[in-house]
Amino acid sequence: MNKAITMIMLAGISSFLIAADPVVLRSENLQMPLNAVSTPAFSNLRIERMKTLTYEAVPKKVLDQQSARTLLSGIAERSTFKIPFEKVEKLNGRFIFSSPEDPSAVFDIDASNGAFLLNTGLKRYSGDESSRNLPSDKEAPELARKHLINTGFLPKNRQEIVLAHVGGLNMAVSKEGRSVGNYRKLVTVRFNRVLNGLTVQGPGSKIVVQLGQDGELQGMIHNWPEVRAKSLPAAALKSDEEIRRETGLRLRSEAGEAQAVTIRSSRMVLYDDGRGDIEPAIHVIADARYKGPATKESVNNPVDFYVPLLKAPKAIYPFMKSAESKLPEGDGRLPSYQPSQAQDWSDGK
Amino acid sequence: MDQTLLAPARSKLLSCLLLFLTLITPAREVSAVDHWEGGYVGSKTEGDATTPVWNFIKNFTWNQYYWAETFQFDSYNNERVDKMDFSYFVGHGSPWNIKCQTTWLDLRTAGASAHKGWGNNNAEFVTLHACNVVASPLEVADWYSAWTGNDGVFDGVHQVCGFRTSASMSCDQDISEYFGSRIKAGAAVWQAWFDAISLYGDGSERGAAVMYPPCDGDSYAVFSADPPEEHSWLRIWYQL
Repeated sequence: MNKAITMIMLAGISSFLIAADPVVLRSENLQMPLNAVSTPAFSNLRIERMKTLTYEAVPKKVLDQQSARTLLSGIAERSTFKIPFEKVEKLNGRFIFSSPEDPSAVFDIDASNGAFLLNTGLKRYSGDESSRNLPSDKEAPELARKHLINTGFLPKNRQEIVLAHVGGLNMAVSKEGRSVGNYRKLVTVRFNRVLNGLTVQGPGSKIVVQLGQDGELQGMIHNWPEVRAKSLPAAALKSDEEIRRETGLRLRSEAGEAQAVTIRSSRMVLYDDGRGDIEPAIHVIADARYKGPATKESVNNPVDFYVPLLKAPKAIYPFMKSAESKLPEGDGRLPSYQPSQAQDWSDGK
Repeated sequence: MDQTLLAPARSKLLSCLLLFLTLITPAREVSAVDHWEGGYVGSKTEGDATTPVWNFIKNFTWNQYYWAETFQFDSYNNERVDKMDFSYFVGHGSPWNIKCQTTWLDLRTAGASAHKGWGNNNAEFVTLHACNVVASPLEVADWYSAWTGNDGVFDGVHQVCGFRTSASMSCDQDISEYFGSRIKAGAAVWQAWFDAISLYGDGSERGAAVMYPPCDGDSYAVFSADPPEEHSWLRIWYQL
């Protein structure tokens, strides 16, 4: 078992570094010499390291309720939505503006950094019909940019914003055992951020624009802090060996029980934790195949994770949050899982 | 009077009124919408399914929090998933299948026992945070029969949320935490699910939600009357 895991680690690293064909990790191909996969890989890593920077969000004045409302009113004046958002609540440092007339409508803004989600409501889109005059996939990005300009939310540095995806929202209906309709409702345009040639991933640094009937602004996600770059001393970065070891451990943790694991991609990115820290990391995506349900031999459940490149990361990565969670109980109904605290909550509160 | 002259005046009046309401109405701490909630963790060993479940149910004074077992969803569901108002499962998935530890559960037949499917007892909302479980018309033309067939799980449940694609594991903790906070605040259910995916997803995963159509606008604070146990009327919303 230990030997197999060691080889998984090395094969995973080789895929990320040399970006070669996917490496399928089965027992029969886990026999390649260690140095055969490690040498070219690490030379590439060194090249990437030369341009590695870290970024910090420029602090913003904390919003109060009135300034959050003013911001919302500003968007409303430059758009066509009529939802009043008369209800305001505070939750975890956010102001949540909503409206009883349509519980899907929300303006949810983080008071500390101004990142927000606006959904002007889907009630008026709930009919069995397609939205009229939706923009085409070709028209949508330009229209989304116009809405960003009109509302004042197009990032100042235009070099940083790149089109990531044009998608949408559809609805379909079935009745009495047959399909009776499939409707187009919204078009979604998603923009990513690129800093110093590296894609920014994670909770922060994204803009999403939802376009509705007649191309109107139906919704927006805006999380795009102004940032300043900081150079990194070489000593701040993990060694190749540390990265290799950590990648292997994470791969084992995420997909250790899989029948086969194929590294689909692994690349250097910047991870924005949404709290003001943007740091270099390796993002690994692997296809993990498990024994499937009765009708299938196996199923692919991809796993993905980040390996921070900094020895002492400031950003909060997903795996760091795991320590805060409480373990569930075994369900006392079955003897196979010995309940540590044989408590049945079925009586409720 | 010319109606076009009145419109800007009305708009300005409305803006002033809203500003006034904002000034006189302090933001309340979020009102607790809290009924009966259950969390079910699909795997002990294949990634961290615990944290995303915990991050959802910690928003509530939850009632059940278990390692997932198939009986919670089928033969004993009246005491588990169908005893809850809102259930949250995280684990591996495949179209209409979820994996409870090492055993797959086929949702197409999970309503075959004496406990029937979900909703004949209590359940309103179930979220299956797992890859590919809620297939849309883009995956298969007959996306509906599996849910409402004789042995399916739609026996009065209002909405089932999930993914029609793979679900990124690096985002699941944030998606569930945000989703839970919005549900507790009284947001419309599937709409908040899609908001959470758009806000915290990595851009690769796509949500899907199936529901009895009159329950489309349900929130956890205000939801419609229970659907009949026997129906074959279904709506799916899905992201592209």
